[in-house]
Amino acid sequence: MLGELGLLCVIVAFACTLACALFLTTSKRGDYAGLIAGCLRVAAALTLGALTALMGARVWDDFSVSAVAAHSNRALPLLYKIAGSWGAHEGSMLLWCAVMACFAAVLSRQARNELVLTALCVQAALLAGALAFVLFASNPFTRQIPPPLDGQALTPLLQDVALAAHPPMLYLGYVGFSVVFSLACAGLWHKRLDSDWARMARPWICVPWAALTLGIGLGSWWAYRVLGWGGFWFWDPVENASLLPWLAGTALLHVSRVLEKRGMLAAATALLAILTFAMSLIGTFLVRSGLVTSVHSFASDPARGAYILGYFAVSVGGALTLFAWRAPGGPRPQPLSREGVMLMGAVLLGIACATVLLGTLYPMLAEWLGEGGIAVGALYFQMTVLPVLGLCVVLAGLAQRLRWERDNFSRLAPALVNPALATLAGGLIVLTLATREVALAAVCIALAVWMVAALLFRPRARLSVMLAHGGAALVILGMVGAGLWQSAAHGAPGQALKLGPYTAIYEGMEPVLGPTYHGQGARLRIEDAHGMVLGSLTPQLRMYDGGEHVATPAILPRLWGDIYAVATPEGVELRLEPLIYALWLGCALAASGGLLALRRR
Amino acid sequence: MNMALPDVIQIIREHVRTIPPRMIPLAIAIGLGLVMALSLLLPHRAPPSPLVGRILPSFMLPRVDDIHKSLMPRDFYGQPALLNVFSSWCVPCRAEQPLLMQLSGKVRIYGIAWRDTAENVSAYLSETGNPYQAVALDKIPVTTVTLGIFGVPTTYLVDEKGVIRAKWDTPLDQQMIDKELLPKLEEIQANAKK
Repeated sequence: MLGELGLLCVIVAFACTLACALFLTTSKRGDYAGLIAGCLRVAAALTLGALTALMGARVWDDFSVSAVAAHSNRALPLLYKIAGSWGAHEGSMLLWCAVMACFAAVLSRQARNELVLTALCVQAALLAGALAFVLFASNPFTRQIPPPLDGQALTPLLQDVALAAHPPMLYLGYVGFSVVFSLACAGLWHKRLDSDWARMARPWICVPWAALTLGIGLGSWWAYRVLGWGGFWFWDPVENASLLPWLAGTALLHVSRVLEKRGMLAAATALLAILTFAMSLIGTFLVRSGLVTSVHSFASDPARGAYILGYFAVSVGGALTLFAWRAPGGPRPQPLSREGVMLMGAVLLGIACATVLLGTLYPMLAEWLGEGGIAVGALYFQMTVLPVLGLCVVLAGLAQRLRWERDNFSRLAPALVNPALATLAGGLIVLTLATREVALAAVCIALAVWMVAALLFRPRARLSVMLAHGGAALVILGMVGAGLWQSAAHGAPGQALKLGPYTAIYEGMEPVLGPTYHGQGARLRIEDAHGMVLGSLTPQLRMYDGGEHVATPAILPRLWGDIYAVATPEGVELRLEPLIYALWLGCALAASGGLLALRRR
Repeated sequence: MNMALPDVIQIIREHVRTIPPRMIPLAIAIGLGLVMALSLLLPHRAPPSPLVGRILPSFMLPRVDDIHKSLMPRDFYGQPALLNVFSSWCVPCRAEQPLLMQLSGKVRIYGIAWRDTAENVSAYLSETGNPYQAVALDKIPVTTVTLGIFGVPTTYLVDEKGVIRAKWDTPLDQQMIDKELLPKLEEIQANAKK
């Protein structure tokens, strides 16, 4: 029953949104504002209802619904029965629609505004397209008769708390940017891309940006805690898919500030609004079409890829045609002014985004060029993207001390003395104290200090900017710690393992038994240099009921970083991950900064 | 209407110069869309398995016909051979079986029954025919990680020194056998004779 109810919800929601989208063809939308707003609210309620129906089918183990049978089973803990609803392709697309509809419903409160009404119709068209995809290409409620007695196991790696929250956060970001896309289309259409537009669009930029930041952080935290590789970012195509809209969105966030404050850069704002959503779509396309091979390819179906590509062509192609037709002109900002530097930063972020996109698509291109299947490694991204982002950090600090409109060097120079001294001090401290990768680490830490110092020495700095830029500085710190200063040691059972100031003493194997797995754990006693016991770690080799083997790491957090142990077939591997928590802390801080930017002055 | 190439380039260049900058995003997006569309249409190959070119990783599995005997990489030395990982519950494996029967005249084939039981494998082989020199049972399965298997059937071509020369992680079809498998096998055999 629940399945049919869910399907019915999707069908009616599709009809509602299609009806709203048809109002794009008439200019007398104003007379039907109430109807359009109502339809979108109904659609939001219905898509949420459909999502609830899918959750219900999973909670009550209705294995006649094939999406349930494929990714849920009786033994699965309740949390993952619910959270797993959006783990697989069909459910995640439903979540995508639900988030989009909810954003539209919130926007519909301002439906009396002519501009917002047009944006609502654009949003309805986007939503209708997404719902059609759910209905025709990835129906989560397909029945299979006779139903199996029990479903397939949910991939054990996905059974994790961080991963239960990661997809909704990511989608809140991905899909959230659809609203500012719609607003940009409406703004282009009505030729009203001005300060008022930027003020109205601000929440629709800040909230998705914060959610995406948090979502990427959660995903990285999950990879660190669950995958047992001890890393936090692998430049995997699926990870890049989330980085693309983040880079474009960050550029949009800053450029829209200039539009709000100075009424400039309207064209750049509109273009970035369109591109950010386009990057979200490309990300979805890459993940869902299976074109790029990835450690987490979920679903690969060329028909779905073709549909998403068609959706991309119509929405982004349409918006960019509108842009080509009606892009507003405007004065260029002075190079030495806050808006000038912010524009430069946005351009750099755009370059970084294009570089990531190129690296992600390159394996595909290389295949046509006859170079055979190749994979683009982390080295490419580290050598191309990170320097560009480093330059962005320099500009981010500089922009704090610059004045709007125009500035001059004679005023600027004294204002930069204090931050520059702090930066120099930070770099020198690292140069003297660090033992590994000294030069690179010093540059990175100096950048982080610069970003914060420029803010701290600035009078009347906004709290939101402080949090966001402070968060970014913390992320740099975490990257230096975990990327440059990480150290590892391997050992066989029975040995005492020495790593830095710590010693790990093997105390024996113990059996572990969980709700869906059993296995072995190697208990390690961790002692510091003075022989004081700090705690014990039990990295496990788990065998899940579905037959998968997973090496689950164990982590002992310390003030200066994590002690990370993972069981390997040969014994155990112990790693020191200095300062790695700064990464997740930084993401959370930056996200809270993004949310704080909602506050009116 | 014959025009020299430089003229054409000149004309294109003039046209490009007249494109207003606000058209550029659209042009780039169209290009990007075409790239993605083409990549959907063109046949897609997976990146080469890191195992290709390496020696067969060590494993020791009980044989289905006699659990006191086992299958291990040593069995592959001396002559080129195929290693076919299959399951009795896997439908594509069933479809692949007649092709393996044909191949079994030309090359030795060893089988690993993946996530399976001895009874099911025996029943399956008596039904479809047995192209294998020997079939080992991987119940747990332990070969998932060592051999990099993420689905059945998976087939490896192993040369006379036990080095993996090719891996197919999709069911073999006649075209793949004629165009990829047999030429590679002949190449290995020719090299071995030298």
